Parts: sequence; C-alpha cells; structure tokens
Amino acid sequence: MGVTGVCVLSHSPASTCPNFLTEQRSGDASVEVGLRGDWKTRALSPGNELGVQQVESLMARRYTTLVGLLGETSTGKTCLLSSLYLLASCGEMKASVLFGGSATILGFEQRLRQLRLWDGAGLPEQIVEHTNLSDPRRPGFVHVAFRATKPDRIHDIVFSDLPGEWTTGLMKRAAIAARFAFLRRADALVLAITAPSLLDQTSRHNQLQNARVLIQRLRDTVEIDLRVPLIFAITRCDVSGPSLPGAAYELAAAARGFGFTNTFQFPIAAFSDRDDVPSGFGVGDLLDAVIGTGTQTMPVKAEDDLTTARMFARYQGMREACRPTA
Amino acid sequence: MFVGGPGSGKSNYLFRAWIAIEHETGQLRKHGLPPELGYLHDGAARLLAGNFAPHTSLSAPTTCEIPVTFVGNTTVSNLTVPDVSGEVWNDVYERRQWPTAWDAFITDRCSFVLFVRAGSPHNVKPLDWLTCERLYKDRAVARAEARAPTQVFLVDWLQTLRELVTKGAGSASIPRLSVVVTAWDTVQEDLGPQEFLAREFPLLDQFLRADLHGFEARVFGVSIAGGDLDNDPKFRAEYLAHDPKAHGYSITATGRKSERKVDDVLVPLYWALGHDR
Repeated sequence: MGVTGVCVLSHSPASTCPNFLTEQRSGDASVEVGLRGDWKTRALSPGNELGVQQVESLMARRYTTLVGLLGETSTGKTCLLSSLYLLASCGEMKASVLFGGSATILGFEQRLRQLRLWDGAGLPEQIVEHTNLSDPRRPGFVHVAFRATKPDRIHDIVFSDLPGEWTTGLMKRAAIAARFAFLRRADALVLAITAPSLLDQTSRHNQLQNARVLIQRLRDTVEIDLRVPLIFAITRCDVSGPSLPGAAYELAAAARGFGFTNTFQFPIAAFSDRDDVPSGFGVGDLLDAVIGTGTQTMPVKAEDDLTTARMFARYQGMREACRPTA
Repeated sequence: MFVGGPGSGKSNYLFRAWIAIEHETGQLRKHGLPPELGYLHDGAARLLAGNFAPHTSLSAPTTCEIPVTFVGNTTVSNLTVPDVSGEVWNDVYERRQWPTAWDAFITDRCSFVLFVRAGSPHNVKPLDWLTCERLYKDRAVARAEARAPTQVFLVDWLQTLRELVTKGAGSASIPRLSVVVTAWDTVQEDLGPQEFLAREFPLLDQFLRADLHGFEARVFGVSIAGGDLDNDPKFRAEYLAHDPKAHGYSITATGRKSERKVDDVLVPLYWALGHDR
C-alpha cells in the first residue's frame, strides 16, 4: 500500500485494514510519509468516532443535542445508527429534514459495512478523549447534523457509541457509573431492547427486570434528570412484526414509576425484508422524538466532582444562548 | 481550487477554460500569457484536436497561474489553479492526510470548484437497503461492498475544506463554491443540475441544500465540447469541421424547477470568482 496506495486485502478506506500503520517520526503528529512520493502531509480528523475533546469542540461552536444510546450487546444500537445514516444517504428522510453533514461520516460508512466492530477482548473502561486514525473502535460518539425546515432549525446531534458490555456492567455495578456521567448533559436517552426478547416467555421477565435495574441506576447513581426524555427503541421488529410487544408498555410504565416524566417507545427495524415492516421502520419517528427533545429547556446543573461530568456540564448553560436558529 | 476524484473532468475543464480565456470568448479575459504555459497549452491542443485529455498522472505539473481580468473591469487577478490527480483527492478521504503544500492556497481569497462527472465509471452509488440487509446477514458481502460511495467523498472533501478554511482564513471567511456536473451532454433526462444531484448523489444534494456547509454554493452542469469526443465519431467530425472553441455550454440552476443553458463554459468560474451572472 505504501507504493500503490491501495490495500491488497481490498479494505477501503485503506486505513481500516488491521495491518495499516502510519509512520511517525520524532513524536510529531504530522506524518511525513506522504500520500504519494515526496508529498509532505498533515493528519486530518480521522472521522471514525469522536472523543470527548472533539465533542467539546463541536459543542463550543453550536448547540449540540447529546443522545445517550444504551443497550446490552446485540440489541441493535449500531444497526439503529446505521439505519438512520442510510435514510439520509438514500435521500429517504422526510422532505422537511435535510442531512447537513457529519464529523463521523467515515465512521458511519464503516459501521454500515460492519467494518468497525468492537474488539471484545480489550474493551476500554473510559470514553476516549481523542480518536486517532489507527485506533480500533473505542467508546466515543458519532455525529450528524440535520436542518429541519418546518420550523427552520439546525440540529447537531451526537449519539454515544458504547459497547453493550458497558450497559450490562452498569446494571450490575454502581462503581462504573462514572463512565456514564456525560449522560447528565444528555438531551435524551435511547434504550435499545429487542422485540423478540420481550415476546419470548423465557426472556421477557429478565428483560423487564434488567430494564428496571438500569433505569434505577440511571436515576440514582448516574443521577439523570428525570425530565430527560427516555426513549425505548424496541428493535428487531423485522422479526416480530410492526406492533409493539405488550411488555414495551410495561417498560414505559416502569420508567414513569421511577419518576421519568417523558417516555416514548418506538418499534424499530433497522433492516428488514418484510413487506409490512420496511427497512428503517420507526427510525424517522425516533429521530423526530430526539429532535423534539433538543428544544426543551433544561435547568443549568452545577458541575460536580466527576471529571467526566465536567466534560459537558459547562455547556448546560449554553442551551438557551445557543438555541439553533435559521 | 479544483476538487474532484479520478475522471471527474477537472483537467479537461481547465484546458477548455483556458481556450475560452485565451480566445476571449467569455467574460474572463487573459491579461498576457502565463509565464508557464506548457501544461495548459498541451491540454488545450488535445481538445482542439478532438480528443479529451487523458487521466492526469500523479507526477503531472499541477499549478497553473493565469493572469485574468473580467470584461469591463481593469483589475488584474491571478487565477491560480492547482490541478492534481483525482487519486490525491481520494487519498485525502481514505488516508486522512492533507498535503501541507496546499495550505498556501487556503486563504481568504480562495474559492473552490467541485467536479463530479455524470455517468463516470468511477462513480460509486450509495448502498441501498437491499444491499445492507444482505450485508448484515453475510460479512463476506460486507467485504465486497467496501468501496465508499462517491457522494461520501464529495461531502467529506467539502467538510475538510471548510475546516481548513476556518483554520487558515477564519470562521468568518465564506468562500464561493461551484459544484460542477461535467459531461452534462450525457444526461438524457430533463433534469436541472440540482435535481440530477438529488437523484444520483442524494447525500450531497441534501448537504448543499441544508446550507450548513460554510460556502456560498451554486450547482452547474457543464459540457466542455457539447458531445462525446471519445465515443461519438459523427459528433467528433462535426466538432472538428467547425469551431471547437464555439462548442460547450453551462447549465445554471437558479431554482429546482428552472434551468438555463448558456453557451459559455466559464459560468461556474464566474460564480467561484465572485462575479454573479
């Protein structure tokens, strides 16, 4: 690849190849091995996912809707993000919503092609501060901007991209709640649970119990504001059909019972070959709910001692000052 | 700055533009000959001989400087166009590396012309739902579909350029951007350039219409010869029998439902250079 610029294993971009290495000299961030021949070059933003510092830069420029996307392993979190991106990519957003850019467009393309997978053997224990091109997938954020035309508003949205093991860990151990402190700044929480697991008698009760525990953790240990919208994304409706399982309503009732005042539940099918459940089913509705939450007024919270809370807490007070306008 | 992937038509447009400037057939006139004329001269010669210029090699001389004035204006400007191989632009996306030599072009006076060729074999369509369903069932299919769509390159380049303009010229600098669909003569349908983008490159179309990109942008269609010199011998014969420099046109889109054909290939350059037409 150093000669031709093309990966012999057909990875595209070439940087996704597990054998891809960049040559660095003298600890300088600029890579002096050029694109071609003797070209001197400088590294650009990798665009795979965003670390904390990169999200903070975004937030400094424009109000950013932060969405905490949670769910255990294989609940469809990545598929949900991929499906949202594909709606935009194919021009199938509703006419009043336009794709306005993404700081992680490469990351979306890689996730769509399952080229950016979690390495289960070595999951980090903190959200990455800053991403580099050669890094494997690490807990961070993906970004997309939309412009809604009715009314005319700009929505910069950042979704957390976390391994499912973290959600499971939070249920079991309060000690890891610090990783989730950024959620105190969240404009919305999306909790992914698969529809088949809510229909199956052998798993339904456990799923409800897990969700109850997680919601309580979010309330008591992570200390989420109870007015933050809690959106249940009931995924894999390509398997179960277009209707919400009855247990989904129990989830919402449980959330309200724990004090969350603003709950939604949407049947979701990121990809589907059913006629009654098309691909992207429910994703647009979920986005509408998220965009709607970005306009809600939230109180300014005092910063706390947790470093990760401080990472976004200082932007709480900007919500009204930076209200997106045309 | 001309931006575009392999086969997008950057070089052919540059050579055709030089013919128009040199012969003063449009609103942009030369102010003397450029000191270094070899690249432009050789490229123009190919077009005047009825041949499109071949693929730009990686080692081709790349920066053309043409002293110009606009009709009715005495101000002389230096039109500086780094014309590089499309593979270099592909590398910007794929390897996330920016040639530091290009920093010199990112100033508060820079503007951009983004090229995409209608019907190019290099164009990669976006993934569709059916393909994605297969991807999620079979990782082997995922490998085969690893090429990023052309529209993703185009959006990423514009986002990258905007970041660089902010760093080099400040966030208040809003450069002009002409998005040029080349080989417009191959577009059979009754579409305007913006509608063509909406059909072929929906992500780019939305990105431009959302207008969060930080450019003052307009979309054009261009045919530098008015037909296919490579594959239409009858057209080529007619082109050579008459006046090659009278061939070629631009399509402007002043709204989604209207189009206007102008017998002047320089129209996208007028916009990029700040002269509305």
